[in-house]
Amino acid sequence: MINLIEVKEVSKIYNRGGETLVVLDGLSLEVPKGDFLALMGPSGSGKSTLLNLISGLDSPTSGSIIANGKHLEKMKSSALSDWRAGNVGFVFQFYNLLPVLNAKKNVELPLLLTNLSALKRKEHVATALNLVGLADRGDHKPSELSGGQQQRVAIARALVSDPDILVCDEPTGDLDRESATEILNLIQILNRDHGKTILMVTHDPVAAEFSKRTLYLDKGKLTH
Amino acid sequence: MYWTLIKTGLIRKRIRTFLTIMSLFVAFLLYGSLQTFSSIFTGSVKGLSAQNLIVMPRYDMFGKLPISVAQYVESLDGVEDVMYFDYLMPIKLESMMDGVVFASSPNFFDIYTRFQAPDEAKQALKSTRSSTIVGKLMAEKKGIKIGDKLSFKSTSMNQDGSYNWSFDVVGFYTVTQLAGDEMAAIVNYESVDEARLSEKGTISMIMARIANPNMADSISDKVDDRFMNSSYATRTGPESMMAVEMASEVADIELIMTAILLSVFFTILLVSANTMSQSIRERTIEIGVLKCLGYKDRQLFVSVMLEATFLTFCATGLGLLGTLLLIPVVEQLSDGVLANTFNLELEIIFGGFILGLIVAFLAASVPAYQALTLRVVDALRED
Repeated sequence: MINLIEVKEVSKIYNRGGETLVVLDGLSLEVPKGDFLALMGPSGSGKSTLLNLISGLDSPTSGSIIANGKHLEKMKSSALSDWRAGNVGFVFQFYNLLPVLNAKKNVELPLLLTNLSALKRKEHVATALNLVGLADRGDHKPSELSGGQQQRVAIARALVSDPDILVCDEPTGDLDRESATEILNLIQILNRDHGKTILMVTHDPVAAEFSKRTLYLDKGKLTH
Repeated sequence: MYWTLIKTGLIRKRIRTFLTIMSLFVAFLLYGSLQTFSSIFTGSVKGLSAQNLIVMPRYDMFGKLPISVAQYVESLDGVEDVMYFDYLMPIKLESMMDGVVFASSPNFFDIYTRFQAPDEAKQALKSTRSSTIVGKLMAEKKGIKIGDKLSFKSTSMNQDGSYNWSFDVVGFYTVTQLAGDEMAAIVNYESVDEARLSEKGTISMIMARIANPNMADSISDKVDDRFMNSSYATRTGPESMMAVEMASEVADIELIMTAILLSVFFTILLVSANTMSQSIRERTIEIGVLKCLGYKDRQLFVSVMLEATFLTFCATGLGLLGTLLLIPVVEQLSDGVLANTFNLELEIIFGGFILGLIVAFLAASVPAYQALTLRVVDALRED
């Protein structure tokens, strides 16, 4: 199977107040295209840092990260922005929707960076909202939606530019069990039916069960 | 894309946006008003000629010069014609005059082309010594008609021993600038000088039309040098400059205005910069999310700058619109004296928007830089 993401001997070290903090310690990882990988581990184990590196939000101290054929550690900030816009969709724990924009406008945000016409953008937004089951809530602002619905809008925003990789950082951490299950089912469908490669950080073993495989991190290393 | 980002920033806290625009609006209203109405205080009125030299007493605005000074000025090379007049000051409370009476040489309207009167009235003023041409604004205010007697008491004693003066109204004059100048009457100098008992042969002001405005300095110097050490020291200069000089002797209005404007704008700058910084700080996570989605640092920097520019331009537009609305109010309050005096000149509008751009740039540069350099991982850590 083709690896979409290859993490090779990656270390991430912070120097804070004269103290050296090793967050990732020579970690290697391969993620095939179409995988649904859950990353678990205690707080401070390096899960989110690994996710940030793979999604091009941060750069490693050493090692290399190849994602969709690109060496991310060699790319400059501007090129990484372009790469993220085309290849990665983000789903956060607290949704992070812009409160003054309605669902449609929030979903449209990534498309404003493209050359698509307003009509095409509208079509894409409608498709994405339809996919997450919120076709009828497009004109609602985040404050008018439940937590589960806001997370669906966030997923629609992550999907709208049709990226290969979906990065989910505790996507159900702020939801009740019922809403969490709905969101996890949706993510599973995106993986299974739409071929999205999904990297999900979670503390929740139930959430991890929705993935195809689960890896555990501790002190910056994969344990099993 | 930029408009969505700007709109998002502006409507995020609507009341704060409104109050920021209002505080900037006050500053720009002050800017527009001071620039537009400053001519009252600075004397820099458009339409005053650089080709007319004024000769007046050096140390007393209402002092007197002997008529021989006018004859000397007329004799100088480069001087085409000379007009002179004396003030016949009416005692306002016992007068049908609210303004001043100019007892002038017959060529008043030939030299002072800002003042315009019908030919027959001008002819009558020259040929009939008891005639007067009255300013249109004063005629309207006092209900004066052609053929009326213009009677008033003056501070000058008449040869009959009274202070009463009377003239026949033969026409009305208008002015192209400064409607307040229509609050006067023009009478014949010779008849006044003959009739008064004191200060005979004296005049208050001379106006000389020169062939070339470039000769103004040399002619002025020649006149002033000639009378420097006499009892009648003169002060000479172009009409357009004398008003400014006289106003500046009261106070440096220009400097005072600049100081007021600078103080206001410095305060507003601090307020705006603080508001923008606070606004950007509150949007740290949103900026982080936008960077996650692929928005570039530069794009977010530009969007913050554009947001500040939009805010200040709204305020600039409103401030200048407010000034425009104030003009008829001020003219109305002046009872017509300042009618058609003020215009919101294109250079004031242009200057306002340049000022707006500077305020926006200074206020937003730090917050925009914060947005530019914000690391996504740091922004999301605040989540």
